[in-house]
Formats: sequence, C-alpha cells, structure tokens
Amino acid sequence: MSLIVKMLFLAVSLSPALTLLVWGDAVAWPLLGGIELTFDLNPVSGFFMLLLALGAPLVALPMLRGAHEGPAYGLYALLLLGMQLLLLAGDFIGFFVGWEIMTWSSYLLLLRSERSDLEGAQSYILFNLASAFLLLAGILGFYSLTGDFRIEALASAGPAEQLILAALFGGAFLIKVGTLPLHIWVPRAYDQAPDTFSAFLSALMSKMGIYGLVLLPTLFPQGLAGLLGSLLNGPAAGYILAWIGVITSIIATFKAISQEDMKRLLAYSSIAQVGYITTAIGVGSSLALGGALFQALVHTLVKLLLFITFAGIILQTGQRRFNDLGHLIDRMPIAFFAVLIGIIGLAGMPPLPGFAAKYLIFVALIDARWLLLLAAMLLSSTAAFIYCYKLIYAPFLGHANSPEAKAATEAPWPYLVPQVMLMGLLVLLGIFPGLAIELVIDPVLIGLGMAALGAPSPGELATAYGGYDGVVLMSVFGSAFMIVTGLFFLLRGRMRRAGSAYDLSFAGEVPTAETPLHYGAGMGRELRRIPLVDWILSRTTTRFQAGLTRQSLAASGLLGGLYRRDPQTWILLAVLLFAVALTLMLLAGGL
Amino acid sequence: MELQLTPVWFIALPLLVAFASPLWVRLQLLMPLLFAVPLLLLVLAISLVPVVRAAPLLETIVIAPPLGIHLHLDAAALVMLILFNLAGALMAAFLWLGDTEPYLRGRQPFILIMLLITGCTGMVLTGDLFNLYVFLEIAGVSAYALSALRRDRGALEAGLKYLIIGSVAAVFFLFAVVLIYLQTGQLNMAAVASDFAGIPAPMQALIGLLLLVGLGIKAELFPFNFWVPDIYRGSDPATAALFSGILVKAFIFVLFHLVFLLLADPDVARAWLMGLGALTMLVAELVALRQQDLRRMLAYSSLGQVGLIVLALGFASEATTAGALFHMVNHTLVKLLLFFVAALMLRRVLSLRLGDLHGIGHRMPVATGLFVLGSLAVLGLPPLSGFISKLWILKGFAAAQLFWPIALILLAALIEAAYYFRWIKVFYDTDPAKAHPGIMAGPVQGAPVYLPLLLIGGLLLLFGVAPFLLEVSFVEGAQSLLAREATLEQVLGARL
Repeated sequence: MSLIVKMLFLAVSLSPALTLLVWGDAVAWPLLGGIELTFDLNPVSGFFMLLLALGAPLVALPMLRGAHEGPAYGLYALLLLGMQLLLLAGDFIGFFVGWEIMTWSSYLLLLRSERSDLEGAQSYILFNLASAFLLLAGILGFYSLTGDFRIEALASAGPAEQLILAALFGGAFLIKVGTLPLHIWVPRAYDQAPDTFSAFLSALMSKMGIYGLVLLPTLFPQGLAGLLGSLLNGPAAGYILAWIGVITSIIATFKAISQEDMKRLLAYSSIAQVGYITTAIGVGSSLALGGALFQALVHTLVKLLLFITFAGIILQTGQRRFNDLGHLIDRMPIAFFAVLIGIIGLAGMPPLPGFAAKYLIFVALIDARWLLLLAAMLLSSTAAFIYCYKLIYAPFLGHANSPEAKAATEAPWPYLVPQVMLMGLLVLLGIFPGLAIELVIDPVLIGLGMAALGAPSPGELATAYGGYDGVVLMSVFGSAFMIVTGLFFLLRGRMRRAGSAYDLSFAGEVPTAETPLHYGAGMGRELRRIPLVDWILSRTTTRFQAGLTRQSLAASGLLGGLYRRDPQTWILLAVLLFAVALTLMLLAGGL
Repeated sequence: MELQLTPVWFIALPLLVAFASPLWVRLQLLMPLLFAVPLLLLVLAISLVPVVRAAPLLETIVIAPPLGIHLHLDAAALVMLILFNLAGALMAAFLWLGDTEPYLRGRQPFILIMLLITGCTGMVLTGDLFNLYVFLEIAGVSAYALSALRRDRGALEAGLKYLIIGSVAAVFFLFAVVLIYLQTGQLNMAAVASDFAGIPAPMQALIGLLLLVGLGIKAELFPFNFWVPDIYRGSDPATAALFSGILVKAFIFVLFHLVFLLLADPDVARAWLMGLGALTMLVAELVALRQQDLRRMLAYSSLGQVGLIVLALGFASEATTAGALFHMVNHTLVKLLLFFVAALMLRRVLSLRLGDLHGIGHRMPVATGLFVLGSLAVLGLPPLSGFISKLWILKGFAAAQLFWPIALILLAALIEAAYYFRWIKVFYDTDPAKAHPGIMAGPVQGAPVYLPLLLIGGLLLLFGVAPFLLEVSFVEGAQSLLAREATLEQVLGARL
C-alpha cells in the first residue's frame, strides 16, 4: 500500500515534465462574470516549466525515504499543481490562483518540520501573502485600466498609473525573490523547512518571482524604459532594479559568510544569487536577460545539489552547524564531490556553467556601460568565494568535532541519486554552454521579442565581447584535476609520513583528539573589523518587523478595550451614538 | 399546483412542525424531522428557481387593512431561503449524527431552531414592516433562548445579555416602524417606499437613524456590535454557528432590503454604510489578533466578514452586490464548518483556549484539516469559494475605479491571515512539551459526524472551482435587490 502511494507520488512529481512534453492546445476554464481562465504554454513559461520538471522529481526522491507521509505527498502534489497553473496561466486570475495555491501549500509543508517555530512560520506566510495581495492589487489596477485580465501589454495608461502598477507588481515579485529589506522570511523559512523541502524553496519557488520579474517589462508598452525615463543610456527603472539586486547580493553575501548554520548560509547565498538575476533583469538587454536565465538555470541546479547534499549530511549526522562537523571527506566522498561541484558552480568559476552565466551578466553590464554596478557585482561575487570555501572546508576537512561526524556514513541512495544526476548535468552544461543557449535560452528571448544570443557551436559561448569554448576549458581543467589527483595518490605514502593530523602546535599546546579544532570556526567574525561590513552585519530588519507586530498587537488591545463585557455600556454607547448622530444630522440639516 | 407555488410553505411548515413537537417526541422523530424539514424546504426552494426567475411570487393574506401578511419571494430572497434551509439541514445533520450534548437534542432546541429558521425566513420574505417586526422578534427570542440552553453560568449570562441588547435593538426598530406608520399611514414596504420621499427631511433622518441603530445592533455593525463576542463565547459553538451563519445574514439582508427599497437615491446611505462596513471589518480583524479563545476569535472573524459584506452591499453596484450575496453564502458555509470543528474540539479537549489546543492537529487530523480548509476559504485564498466572492467584490470596485475599499479589504485579509495562521500553527505544533497531557479528556468522536463537515468542505471547493454554476442566481438576486422601481410596480400593481 505504502509502496503504491510512493510510486504514485513519484509519478505526480514527474507531472511538470509531462506537461512540458505533451502540452497541446490552450485550455480555457470559464470562472464567472466574463472572467475566463486560459492556460497555455509559451516559450517563457516553458523555460520555468523546464526548471520545475528538472527539480520536482529530484526533490521528491529524498522525500520518499522513510515512513510514508500522506499529507506531505498531497501538499507537494498541490504545490506542483499550483506552480504549473501559475506558469501556464495566460491571464492574471489563473496566475494569481496558482500563486496562492503555491503559497499556502508550501506553508503547510513548512509546518511539518519539527524545527518550524511560530515566528518563522508567521513571517513566511505573512510576507508571501503580502506579496500575493500586492499582486492582486496590481491585477485589479490593471483590470480597472483595461477591463480585462489577460496578461498582455497595457494599451494606454498614463505614466503615473504605469508607475503605480509597476510598483505593485514589482513589490510582489521582489518579496518573493527575497530582495532586501524584504528578505527576512527567506533565511528563517529555508532554515526551518524540512531539509529536502528547502531545496525546493530555494531552487524552484524563488524562480517564480523571477518569472514574474521577467514578465513585468512586457506589461508596459515601452518596457522598463517607459516608467521613469532614462538614466545613463538605459531605463532609469531598470537602473534602480539593478541596484536593488546588487545591494541585495552584496549584503546577503556578507551575511552568508558570518552564518554558523549550514542551511542559513545556503539561504543567504540563495538571496545573493537571485540578486544577480534581479540585476540582470534590470539591465534588460537581450544579453543580460540571457545571462539572467542562464543564472536561473544554474542556480536551480546548484541549489538543488547543495541543499539535497546538506540534507543528506544533516540526516546522517544530526548536526547542522559548521562547528560540529568536519573531516567528512573520507566518510562521505560523494557528498564531498557534490559540494565541490556545487560551490564551483555557485562561485561562478570556470569550467562549470556558473561561469558562463556570470560572464554573460558581466558582459551585459559592460555593454550597458553601467560600470559602477559591475564593480559592485564583482565585489559581491568575489566575497562569495569566502562562503563557498566555508561550505567545503567546514564539513569535509579539518577535524571531526562531534561523535556523529566521526561515525557518519554516506547518505542513503534517494539522496545520492539526485546528487549524481545534478553533478552530471552541471558538468554537461559546463562543457556545452552553447547548447544550453541554443536550446533553452534563445527560445525565451525570441518569445520575449528580443535578439537571440546564438552560439557558433554547442561547446562555445560567444558574445560581441569574446567568449570561450566549454569543451576546451573542461578538458584543460579536467586534465589538471587528473594530474593533481594522480600526483596526490602517487605521493600519498610519503605524505603520510608528515605525522598525524594533530601534529600541529602553537603557544606550546599540543591538541589531542578530544580538543575541538575547527579551522572554519569563527570565520567571518574578522569581517566585522571592516567598517562598512560591520555596519551591514549589525543591521537587521528584524527589529522593525518586531515593532510592527508590537504596534498591531497594541492597536488590537486598545480596540479590544471597546468590547466590554457589560450590557449597560453597550446600550449607553448605542444611545449616545444615536443622539450624537441625530444632533449632527439636524444641525447639518439646518433645523 | 396553486398550493405548491405559494411562499407561505417556507414559514408555515416549520411552524406547524415545531408546534406539533410533542407528537414527534413520542414518535422519536425529533432529529430526523429537524433534518428533513429544512431539507424539504431546500428542495422546494431549488425547484422554485425557474418559477421565480420568470416573475417574483407574491402572496397577500389580508387580516384587516392595513394589517396583513404580505410575502414577496424574489430572486434575492430565494438565494437567502436556499442558504438558510441548507444551513439548517447541515446544522441538524451535525446535531443528529454526532454525540451531541443532551441540551441540544431535546424538544426545546428542536422548537427553537425551527423558530429561528422560520423567523429568519420570514424576515427575508415579508413585504410589510409590522410582520418584519414580528419575525424579527421570533428569531430574536429563539436566539436568546438558544444561547441560554446549556443552563450553566456562562450560557445563562450570554442568554440574558443577548435578551437585553436584542430588546433594545427591537425597541429602536419598533420606534422607526411607528414613526413610519404615523407619517405615511402604511405598513406595506412598497407602499411606504413610494410615500417615503414625501416625509419631511428631518423625520426621514430620524427614521433612518433609528433603523440604522436597531438593525445595526442586530446585524453586528461597528460600533453597535460590542455584544457579539460575549454571546458567541457563552453559547454552544453549534448555536454560535447558527447565529453567525443564518441570523446575521437575515438582518444584513433586511437592512439592505429596506435601504434599497425606501431610498430612491442610495447615495444618501452609501457613505454611511460603506464607512460602517469598513470600520467594522478593520476593527474586528485587529481585535481578533489578540484573542485566546477559539469562539471569540471566530466571533471577531465573523464580524470582519460582516463588515466586508456590508461594505460591498453598501456600494450597491451590481457586481459588488452579487459578490456580497455570494460572500454571504460562503461565509455561512465557512462559519458553520469552523464552529462545528470548534464544537468537536470542545467535546474532545473540553477547552477552546489557544494554550490547550497545542498539537491538536496530530490527534484530530480530519477536524483540523477541515479547519485549515475553512480558514483558507474565509481568507479568500484560491481555489476555494471565498476567493471567488472576494474577487467578484474587488472586481466590482476596480471596475468603478474606487480603490480605497480594495486597499482596506486586502489589508484586512492580511490581518485576518495573521491570526488564522497563528491558530493553524498552534494546531500543528510538534513540540510535545507544550501539549497538555491531561486535557484530552473527552470521548473520541465517531466518523458520521464528519459527514456534514465534509459536505461543506466539498461545496466550498466546488463553488471555488466552478462558480459559474451559481453565477446567474447571484446576478439575478442582485438585480432584484437593486431594482426598486420594478419591485414597487410589481407589488403595488398586484395590490390594485
């Protein structure tokens, strides 16, 4: 019985892939009052459907491990349904329906984690509903201008109306992607969610906000340029959006470095990475949008890989803090390679496709001559190396700092299969960046009415500012890796003679196996000595939100005081109000 | 055939059945009849839909002019009739199938529930002011007695308080009726409506205010709704479901029926009603944030929804009125569901305080799941029907380029989400330290009691996915509610 349910669940998780492959004609569903929901697959939604089709089964696989949980499977199926509705929707109501089903079903899934607390759960649902209601307000504004709910360019609207709509829609989508200062729910949710579900939140749900942001310029007749005029040879609105993205990624990067918890670090890194995508969408050229889509693809794969791998580590050790782990390289070699590949992709280093994505975005920034933005982005992507280093060093190298870390074994196969598949996909994308552009990205750009990027050959990434050949690059890096590894194994015998891992001493103290010794401990603490970074790290919007909660509760208490328990007060109030209103009316009536 | 088509049945049948109750006690038919009568009337009402669509049904029984019983069944009243009888049948099924407390199973509750439904039906059907007052008192008195049925301190206090405030409201209303009669010499609503413009303006204002305060208390409008949480808290949750599901809806309907009928120009009342509705909604949602008792929380949430309905009806455009009628139906279903779940939890846990309900979702999964479903519907999240009705209302405002109600409705929904999801989070709390070990003292509920709840859940989903099934009914209801001239012509023409 439970096996049948599990197989059924796995089949459901393949539904986005099925939708992508066999979707036929548009489907319409009349709702009421002339509102008709239309669902169809277009190139733009097809791209995001592809991400969903890749990610959904890979997250479902680890969820199947252990006792069967009917409600969790049901909610996950609902979540997938909501996201498919959202992507297929040709009108705003269908979009909103999908958006909301996604919101509440993911919230209920989040509640199933033992770690979720009231604050985390409330911030998740309230931020997401605030985003949804901003969206709905925007939709209604749109409707009041056009009299129609179809997603298409506004025919005629004044500049002020366009700006208000852009602010409402933009606010909704920026909350979803976790832009600062509206990000506070992201680290809490990713941290508290069930471990494998964090992968889904980070890799796939944040992309729905990106989908919205990609659609946003198409709603306005002149795109982003029509909103606030132009600045520095580009749309001013896009310039603002790009800065929002870059500032988000800088701050989130530094926050990530200072995290002690693995999933929180990944959460901040996710905010930072999605910030790059936001920046690229702000630039808005076809090069930048290509980069944004490429980055979305890579980020989906990388975050799936990392979150599933770390979920496996947490499953095997029960530890989630960097300081409690260490030396897992011998015990969990596949996880080590998964994280290695993951951080190379995350940091955007060659030869993996993260490099191609960042390269496209950088080139787009150069092309737009927004050099200050480029510098800021370089800063944040360089600083990202530090947390990437922490991700590989702290759990896998150094000394094991907890009994569990000393006894851990490789994660069970439902975790390993997605890891291996994702590693393979990332390497393939690294070898053939041109293929990805031809097959996946160009159709979207054409669908948006932009110039295709094109690629001279499947292995090559080419822009007006030069490119590179993925095959060559991968061969060079691969051979270098082989040579170094080979040398390492050849010299292994001699290296052992260096002594034990504890053969280091400072200040006259020789640590023993019991001494907690962790090179990654306290990493990021030194950052606080840098003035600006210290200022960033010490700021948080938690206090503002706590204040808002306190104020609404105070208002609630104050108004609640009106609801007294004694009937004489009720009657007195009713009679008094009647008398006052009557007097006022008679006075106003002049009698 | 002639007999079948008169709307009198909707009032006469439950009255007859209620007064013959000693017979039913002997035959042990109380609970089946409590279920069967509303069901029968529901079927009758649904079968009347095509008839009423052609022309409203009028029925006049003259006692001594101008006193008489004038019944007027139009599309809007039919929507309410279907709603009331559906709710009555669901309520009866819930009482019948569960192991209900004895004080809700005997002869008294049988009579009182029948009378409550009769009173509400009568208020909706009646076409003259005096009968309106009579039905208002029938519904009121049965409601006071229902809330005191449990005979413990809390219930008696609630019943007494309800009696006091309800009587004050009735006095205000009666004054208004007396003044109208003195001024126009008429009690038939249509006749009054045609003469109303002739009354001097200050007198019009006085009558309007008296009506507003009287019906405002009954329809739970801020600032006349301070009694609501106390009464709902003191009554049994299943009774509170009736109050929130049927009684309030009837009073809101009466309020707007009178406003739309009496005032040739609804603009006069629009600002007042929309303002009061918005205030009711915001204040109630805010106060609900801090509630620690499930019944109080549901009471404030009910007030918030009433505010939304009044805001939408007050605007009096066809889309918002139709949406508001739909929202009334949704809110009745949702509040029945939520209060039934509260009743089940109360039977099992013997407390409805937030602190005592930690982790209840793991012990009563179906009930808590239904609570989540109801919460999603009341918050207006798709794909449940609450979304559709809210969307209809919002669309009506957007089409009229009026944006402040949209902002307020969305803000109120966000506040509402804050407390509903707080309760849901507590229900699904996994921390065993917070769960009260000795609190699960009540018996486990049998499976049949969940049938009406599941049916409500199914209806909420069905109306959310396929709202076009009901669209025509609501649109016609809104049209007949707003079509003052046509109603006057039909009634006065028929009397000639």
